[in-house]
Amino acid sequence: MAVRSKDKAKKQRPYDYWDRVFAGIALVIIAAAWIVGGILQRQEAPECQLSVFEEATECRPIGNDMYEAVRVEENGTETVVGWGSFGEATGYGGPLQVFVGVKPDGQLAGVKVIKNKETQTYFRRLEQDAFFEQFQGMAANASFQLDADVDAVTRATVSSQAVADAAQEASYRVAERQLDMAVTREVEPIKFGTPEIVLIALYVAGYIGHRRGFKYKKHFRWATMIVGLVVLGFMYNQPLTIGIINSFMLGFWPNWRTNIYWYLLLGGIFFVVTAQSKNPYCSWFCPFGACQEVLGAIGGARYMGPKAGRGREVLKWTQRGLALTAIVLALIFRNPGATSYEIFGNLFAFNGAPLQWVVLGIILVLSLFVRRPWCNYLCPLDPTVDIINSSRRWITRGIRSVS
Amino acid sequence: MLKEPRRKYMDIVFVTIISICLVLMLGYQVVNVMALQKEATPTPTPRPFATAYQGIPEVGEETFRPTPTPEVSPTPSETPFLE
Repeated sequence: MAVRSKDKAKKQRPYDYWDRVFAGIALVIIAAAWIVGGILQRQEAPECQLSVFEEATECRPIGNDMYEAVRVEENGTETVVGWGSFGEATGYGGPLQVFVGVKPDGQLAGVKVIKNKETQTYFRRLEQDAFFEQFQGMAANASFQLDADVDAVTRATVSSQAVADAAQEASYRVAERQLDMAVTREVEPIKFGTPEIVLIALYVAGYIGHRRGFKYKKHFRWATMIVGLVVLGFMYNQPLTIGIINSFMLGFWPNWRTNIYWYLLLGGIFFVVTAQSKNPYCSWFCPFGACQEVLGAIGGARYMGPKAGRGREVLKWTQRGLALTAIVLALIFRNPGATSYEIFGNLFAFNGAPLQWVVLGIILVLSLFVRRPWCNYLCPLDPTVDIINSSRRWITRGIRSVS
Repeated sequence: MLKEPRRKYMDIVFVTIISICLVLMLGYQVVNVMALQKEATPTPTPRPFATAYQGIPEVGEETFRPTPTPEVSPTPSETPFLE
């Protein structure tokens, strides 16, 4: 028996060894990409946006981040038609910069997004839903609160919030400095609602359910998966993506008062994975994982892919390579969402690129026969959690050997 | 349990399908990054006429103005057709 277990340990060692090597190399590559991205980042001076003002023919800087828009008549006389300034806030994919024009009567001439790193399929929703048009004519000292002064676009609320916050910053600057308008900066109300409560409940349920000897594990797991699928998936479309992890690494952290969910989701994963070396999200309440399991139950999925050997190894390492590519490219180009290739948005928000629709179709059909094909062979989160786990093991072993 | 020959066949089919998905996902990343690079490359855009127009100075008018930008030569499509 002892000999057998020794042989088993010998066989397992290379696997564990290469896992650790991968984690080490991946961490070095990620750090290098982070540095290279920082060096390559270009700081361009923003330009005044003449198009925001209807009647302006010229727009020029007048100092202190302020621009003056004038109309020059044919005889050379100039009339000031407004002032403009820039504002910035953190959206779903990172910093978002807007230019806001204010007319001399204190009304907004318009809002234009200059730079953004949002997922373009979602950002287009703001344009299609005439989100920016609603700012025109608004008082420069309005509260800019979502669902009070500004209507958010459904399933693009984080981007809507970021535009409103950035517009508020720029508009208040013009109102105070150029128009002497009274501005009251209201503290943003803390956004804590159904998705946050459900997420906390699911983490607690996952923690309890993960424990050994839990009697109702199977039923409990199905219940959390269905709640995850319905609430986090179809109702709110807020699953964990590699884009969120990239944003965290790039320091693009959104306003905590309006994005508690973002912090709970990420913090919960890091905490549980590092403290417990378990990942309750993927197996207990990931909405897309749940969707695949539901389909698997319908189709009677039993096949798990190649059991061992070269096929399985190749698939495992290509999954890791794909995930690492997504992280590295995002860090180099300072754009967390650009390489986030998950197909969750297609299913839960009916939004995504044509290539993603093709993969979604394949995965949904495959899920009827294979258990969680996306999670096991394509999802970037599994290798990411692997890196965290291997690093954790490394650190704890190091601490133990020192002590 | 699947029988051995059937299992091997399933393995080949499965690995092929997943490989297609992997290639598509990699393609998606490359397309997005190329679009980003294209966006980041600065392209010279002609300044609108209105911005460059400084007005006709009147007789005796103070002539100090910000340095006018050089006039942008019209692109072929903008050139009026001359008979």
